[in-house]
Order: sequence, then C-alpha cells, then structure tokens
Amino acid sequence: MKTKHILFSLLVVLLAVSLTGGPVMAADYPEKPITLIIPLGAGGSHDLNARVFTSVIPTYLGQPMVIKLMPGAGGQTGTAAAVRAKADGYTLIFTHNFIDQLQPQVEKLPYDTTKELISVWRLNYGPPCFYGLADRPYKTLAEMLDYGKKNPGKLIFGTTGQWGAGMTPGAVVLTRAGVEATYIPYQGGGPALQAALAGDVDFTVGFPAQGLPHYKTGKLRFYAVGAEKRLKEAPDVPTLPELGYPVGSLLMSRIIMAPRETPPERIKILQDAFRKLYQDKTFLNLMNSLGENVEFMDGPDYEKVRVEQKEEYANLVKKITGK
Amino acid sequence: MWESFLHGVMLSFGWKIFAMMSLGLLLGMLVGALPGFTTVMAMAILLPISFFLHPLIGIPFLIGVYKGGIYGGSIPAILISIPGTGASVATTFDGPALTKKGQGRKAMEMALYASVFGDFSSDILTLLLIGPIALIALRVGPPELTAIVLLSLIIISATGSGSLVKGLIMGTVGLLLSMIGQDPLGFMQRFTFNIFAIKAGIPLLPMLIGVFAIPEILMAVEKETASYISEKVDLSKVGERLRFSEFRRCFRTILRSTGIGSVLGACPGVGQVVAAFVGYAAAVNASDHPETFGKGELEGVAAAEAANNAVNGPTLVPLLTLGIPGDNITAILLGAFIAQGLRPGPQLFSEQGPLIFAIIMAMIFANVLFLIIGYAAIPVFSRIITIRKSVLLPLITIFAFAGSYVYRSDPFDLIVLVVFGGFGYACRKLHFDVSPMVMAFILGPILEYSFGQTVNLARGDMLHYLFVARPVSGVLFTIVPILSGWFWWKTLRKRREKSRDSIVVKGGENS
Amino acid sequence: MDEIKTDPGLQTWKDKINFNTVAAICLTVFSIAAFLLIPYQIEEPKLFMGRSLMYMTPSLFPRLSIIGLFILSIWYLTHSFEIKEKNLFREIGKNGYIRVLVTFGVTVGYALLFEPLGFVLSSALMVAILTIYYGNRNIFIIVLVLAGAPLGIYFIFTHVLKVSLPEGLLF
Repeated sequence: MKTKHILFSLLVVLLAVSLTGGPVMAADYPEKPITLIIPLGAGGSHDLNARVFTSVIPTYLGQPMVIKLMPGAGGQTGTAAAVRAKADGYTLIFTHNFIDQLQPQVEKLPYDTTKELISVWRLNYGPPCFYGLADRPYKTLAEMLDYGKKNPGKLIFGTTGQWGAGMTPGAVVLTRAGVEATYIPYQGGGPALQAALAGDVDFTVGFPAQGLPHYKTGKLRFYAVGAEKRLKEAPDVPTLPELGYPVGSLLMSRIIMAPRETPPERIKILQDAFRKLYQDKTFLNLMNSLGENVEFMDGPDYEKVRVEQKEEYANLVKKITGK
Repeated sequence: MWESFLHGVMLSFGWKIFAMMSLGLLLGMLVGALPGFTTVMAMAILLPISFFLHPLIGIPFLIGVYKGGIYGGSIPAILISIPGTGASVATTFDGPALTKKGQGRKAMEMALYASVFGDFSSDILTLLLIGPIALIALRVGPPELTAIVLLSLIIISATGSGSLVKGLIMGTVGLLLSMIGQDPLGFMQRFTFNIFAIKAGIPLLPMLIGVFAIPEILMAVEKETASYISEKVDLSKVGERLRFSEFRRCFRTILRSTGIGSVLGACPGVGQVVAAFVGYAAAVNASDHPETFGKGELEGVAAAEAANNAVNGPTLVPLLTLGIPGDNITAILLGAFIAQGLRPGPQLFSEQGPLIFAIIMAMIFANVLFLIIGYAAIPVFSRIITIRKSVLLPLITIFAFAGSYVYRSDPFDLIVLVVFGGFGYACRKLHFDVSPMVMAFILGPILEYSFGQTVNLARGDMLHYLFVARPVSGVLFTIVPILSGWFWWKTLRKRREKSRDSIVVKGGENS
Repeated sequence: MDEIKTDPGLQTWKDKINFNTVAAICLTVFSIAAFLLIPYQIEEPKLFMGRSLMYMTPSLFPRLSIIGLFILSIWYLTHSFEIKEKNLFREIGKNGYIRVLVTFGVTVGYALLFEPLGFVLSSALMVAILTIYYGNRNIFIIVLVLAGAPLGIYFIFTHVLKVSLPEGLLF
C-alpha cells in the first residue's frame, strides 16, 4: 500500500511540473533549444552546411539549434513532420527548392508545402555543374548535346535522386536540346562522381566542390556551370545562361523554413540572428573552406522566388512528362 | 614520397594527437554503444568540434570516433541483443547467447581483440597498397557490385541454423519486406497500401531492435527468476576473462574475416554490415562444428567483429585519393577534411603528403589506444547484466524505444518495433531463424539498385555489357556460380553428415 | 503434438500435421495473395519524354521473390511432415503466458503513449508498471529507476547528444 501511495504522489508531482511549463511569451523566445529538421541523410551537403551554421548561431540566438535528421521517401518524411509540427518557432526545417516546389508537381503528397511552410532564410545556393571524363570526343556542352542527338540513347547521364538537385538541371537541358539520353541513377553525389571518373557515365551534374579537384588535374572536363557568374576556380567554363539556358530555377537553394502559422515576431528574431551570422568571421571562414557561397536571401524575398518556381516547375514537368 | 612519409610519421607523434584520439575513441564507443545511435550519427554530432581544431588533431579525433563507434555497437549487441549500429547485427547472432551462458565478458573481449586486429591489419594494408586499392575502387561499378552482393547473398543463405528450407523462406521474407515502400530506383510505391508512413519503407533500426531485443525480453519474463542470465550460471563467474587458448582457436577465423573485410572495404558501396555477414557466413562454412554457431560461439563474435572493423581502412582510400565519399561515414570525414581546408583528391598527396601520412599513421596508432580503452571499459559494461531482472528489463525497454525513436523521430517506428518484436518472438518459438531475414532485408535493396543500374548501363544488351565491355565484371560473374556452387555443395554435405550423426547418437531429435 | 506417442506405422495424416505444416500453408496462401496484389500495389513508372527512365520495372524483384517464396513454401509443406521440432509455445506454461502477454501489452502501450505523454512520463510509467510487476518491492530502487533512468537518458540524449525525444507534457 505504502509503495502505491509514494508512486502515486510521484506521478502527481511529475504531472504538476509538466503543466507549469505552459505557453510562452514571444518576448522571451527562444527560451529552449530549437529543432532543425533536415529531411535528408547524414553526411550530405545539407547536413554539412547545417553543422556549420548551427555551431555558430547559438551566439546570436542565445539557444542551441538541434539538428534532427529525418531522411526518407526523397525528403517527404521530414517535410511531413515539419508540416505537422507545432507552429511555435521551435521546429524549423532545412530543405531545398526541389523538395519544396518540384516534388509536389510530380507526386501526390499529403501536404501542401506552399500553403503550410513559410521561408525564414535562404542560407546559400549550390550551382549545378555539368562534368564528365575528359577523354570523350566532345569538348563543349553544345558538342555533347549534338552527339547525343545523333546517337539516341547513347549519351549516358549519371543522376542523383529522382527530380533532385542533380537530375533536374540535366533533364531540363537534355529536354530543351531534344536529346534522348540514358539516365543512370546513383545514390548521391559521391557515387555519381565516381561513375564519371570511372567513365561509366558520360556526364553527371554535381556541385563544384566535389568535381573541381579533378578538373585541376585534367581528368574531368567541365561543360557548364549552372550559375549567373563563372567559377573563380574555373574561369574558362561557360555558365548555363551564356549557353542560352536560364538558370534561375535550376540552382539548389538551401532554405530554412517554418510552419506557416509561426508567429511573425518569432520569425523576425530568427532572421535577425541569421543576419548577424553573416557578419561572423568564423561562420564565413568555415563556409568558405567548405567551398560554399554565402549568397543569402531574406525570407520575404525568397517567398517571391517560390511563387516563380512553382510556375516554372509546373511547366517543366508538363514538358518533360508530356502531361 | 618516402620523405613525406617520414615527415608524416614524425608529425603523428604528439601527446595532443593521442589525447584527442583517445577522447574520440571513448566518445565513439559510448555513443556507438547507445542503441539507435549509428556511427554516422555519432560522427555527425561530433563533427563541429573538429572544425575548431588543428587538422592533425581534429581528423584523428573523428577517426577515433569512427573506430570506437563501430566497436561500441558490439557492446549492447552482445549484452542485451540490441545491435548498437548496423555493423554489429552479425554480432547479435552469437553474442547474447554467450551472455546468457555467463560469458558476456569473454565475448566482449573477443570482440575487442578481433576488432583491433582487423582494424590494425587493414590499416597497414591500406598504407602499403593505397595505389592498387584506389584502382580497384574505380573498377567496381554497378555490375561488379551486383556480382559481389549476389555472391554474398548466396553464401549467407547457406548458413542459417536449423532447417534449410525455413532459413531460405525467412531470407525471401526479408527480401519482400525490403521491397515495401518506394522502389529505390524510380521511387514508385510498392505494397504501401497508400499509407504515407510506410512510403519510406520499413525502417531498419527499429526492425532490428524489434526482432533481436524484444524477444529476449519476452523470453526472460517467461520464467519467474530474479536474474536475466541463466540460473545455472554462477554469478561470480560473469567476469570471466578470455583465455589465450580461446583466442588462438579463433585466430584463423579472425584472419579470414580480416581478409574478407579488407577486400569488401575496397569496393565502394558494400560497407561494414555486408562484410560482417560474409565474414560470419564464411566462418560457419569453414568450421568443423557449424551447429554451434548461433547458439553462443565465440568464433562467431570474432568473425563478425574482425570483418566489420577491417572495412575501416580501405574505405578511406577512395576518399583520400579521389575525394569520393563511398558512404555516409566517409562523407562526414570529407566534410571535416574540407572544413580544414584540405581537399581530398588527387592533389592531396602531392600538396599535403606529410599531413596525410601523419593521419594514416595516427589511424594505426589509434588501434593501440583502442585496445587500452576498450580493455578498460569492458569490466564496467560486463557488470550491467548482473542487475536483477526487475530493474534491467525496464531499462532495456527504455533503451530499445529511445534507440528506435532517435533515428528519425517518427512515432510510427515504435509501432514497427513492437510489431517486429512480437513477430521475432513467434519466430523464436517456432524455430524460424530471423538472421537470414535481416541479412536479406539489408542486402536486397543494394542488389536491386545495382542490378537496375546495370540494366540501364547495358541498354538492353546484358551479355555483351557484362562480359565484353567490362572484363572485371565478366571475371566476377564467372566466379560467382563456381564459388557459390562450391559453397553450397560443402554446406549440404556437412548437413547430411551431421544429420546422420545425430540420428545415430540422439535418435533424430533435431531436424 | 508431442504428447501423442503412437506407433509411426499407424499414424494417420492428421497426426502428421504439425505447426510447420500450418505455417507452410499460411505462407503458400500469403505468397499467392501477394502475387495477386502486385498489379494493384506496385505502381508502374511514369513516362519521361515518352518512355520509362528505367529499363527494369519496379515489379521485377517483387515478382521473382514472391515466386521464390511460393516454390519454397511448397517445398516446406512437403517437407514439414518430417521436421521434428517442438512448438515452444507449448512449453511456456500458463503463468509464463500471462507474464509474456502483460509485458508485451505494456510495450504496446508504451509505444502508443511515447509521443502523446512524452518520453520522461511514458518511460516512468512503463518502468513503474514493469518493475513492480516483476516483483520489485524496494521503494528506494523503484523510485531511483523510475525517475533517474528516464530523466538521465532524456538529459544525455537531448543535451549532450543533441537529438530530440518527445517532450509531451513535460517541460
């Protein structure tokens, strides 16, 4: 009997403690760690970028940001969780535009990212680069596409992720040029780069950080850079816009988002912290050595980009899948 | 080259390096020992620390986490049948049975020695053969991977304990389970019944913890005893140490597994889990007493642990020489390298030769620290299971649940845990071995993925592509039927002999 | 089944049936059902510029595995009469059954309450029920385990290892 009594009172105490931690005022936000969902796996470029900024941002936020990796179903598992989360500013998602805007165009999803998520901050973007083994007979993007056109199915494109950052730019360029290529999926940028180096595939689309070392040795040839400006490490490589392919919706923007109902003043606090982050030397140095740019964008500005993306991706999918 | 090597050796001697590496090993072991925390997660969590350290301290620190993590996973695998990381799944085939016999400490020591030996030899091998390994890594594409995984699957399928047909059935069930969710190549839904939660497939860790740990808990409550381990065991003997003769008995197995692990480690995309399975299967096949495996055989623990740690050295080669991360672990290491301003790749050796050799040397030294730290930690862990059942079982349950949850914070995973727990319990009671199911579940998607890639690469002309366009895959695909035929023939012959023996001795009590 | 000890020569087919036979029949039925489900439960890939991106259809591997399972089940069925294994469910005993069922029931409840109640509270509840059920009457140890373990694990996981566990009603 005694045991039961003590146990019961203990449970009551636990319950009482839990109930006192009720709703919080915006003024003291954040007063506990913020969870940052990454809908992708460990070790990817999102994970690395997040490890960098979450190790510096506590200085400006006063609270740590805790990374919660939720990979699965090409980013859908994590996105669904973010949409379901309480809109109190303590759950954010670190995602990218292809999960945010392109995926809803090709798949039936149980959520609507446009309606249910709002942008907080665009961290930076990754420029998709077209590269392949330098022993191939074609020397430029135009020559390569020409070869592909003359030999249907012979041009082999190593892609990463269905409708992802590596596949979409390639598919867009190939479709526009009317090339029928063979697509080989790879599980991530690493394996795709390896396939390119081994000559298994003719070209792949990846971020410069991985490919550049091999460009310097002459093993890889860069056909194009998916950015407005040329890379300073590879000034001879033309950009996609120079070659006549608009690049706006092909960049991979790494964005931090929150559930739509999150109080605006809390989002403001987050944005202020990010703004200060972009003056922090440690952060800038780390991003620089990661080989990432720091082309940020404020939440409201990025919201406008999202609207454009939605339309562009809709057209794109229509064109490619013929629906 | 020689000069930068010597310079590197000089650089790698420094108390700070050793101190941080020891810290990394210890942290890796502890985090790896927590169920649900994979080595990848341990490294991802500790990565930011390395950003703010000198490369020669930060990178050995992470390598320590890596090595410690792969070993740490074996601790809960042996003690409470929860594989701490995927790499220690094969350790759960024999470890928990040893613990129940009161030989938990022996098993952990065997795991430690086998791990350190496998790791150490593979590191030396990596240092000596870094060039050739880099070449192999580039030659292993989808068709070669298909051949390797196919061979692994066939070898593994021959080694289940108990009835052969039941083992094969469980393997097929594992394959089917792995196909639930989006298909790996085109992301089409399969057997999801339009339920969003299983679109991403059945999560691996909750399933593993479910089929291995929950049945142990349920079996332990069947009898009203106070202790978790068998009643017959003298509790004072739980701390019994590994004898040298026992280590020597397993030495051949450790050598074999180290070889298997090193070769598989050089092939990108294979990884520790597969190496441990194949090492285990090969040990069963080579043994004179295969029937003792799965029932608490020290050799089984040695086989799995030597193989999974032997992968560690060679997997770093594609990263160091080509800048290609073969898996998530090396992807995190790549992040650490580049955050330090070191860009792994072809120029790394010419530009940063001494530093790289220093890092490899540090890896080799890490094994010595690994041995010491592991040795010191084992007695602490081995006492755990002497806690009485009424306290230990709830604790195991908490860890099983927390471990299933942290991987992706989805409450659905807890349902998976419980369902597979019940399933695993029923399998135990009805003499179905769950290990072939788990192995097929892990290998199935790799096989399907690489095969699908191969079909695309061949563009309709498989024979020409496999045997003419790619000589390496041609050789492999010729070897696969021969090797697997030999393997099966040997297994079947042994089984027949055994069953004849048992009929004579026991009057046919076993199948 | 093991209690019935009859002369093997006089065994009818009914005596030969054991749990393995039943399992084999279930597996056979399951494989047929799964095969029939393929067209409804496996999507065919969307066309990409007028053709499929992948040469291999997503139904190839499931189809092969299910056919394999069917063949194996038939083999198992014919073989099942000769397998002499004890159905270990029969050896648990009534009290054992109750303990297993209660334990399993508690884990199911724990799984369902994990998120709504939060980690600390649901764990404390689970520990309290199980440890007392298993015969722990030492109030000091009960309280120590019930409060210490969940709080300790919660702290280590969320603050040291920086992963999240459900907060639920607590904090």
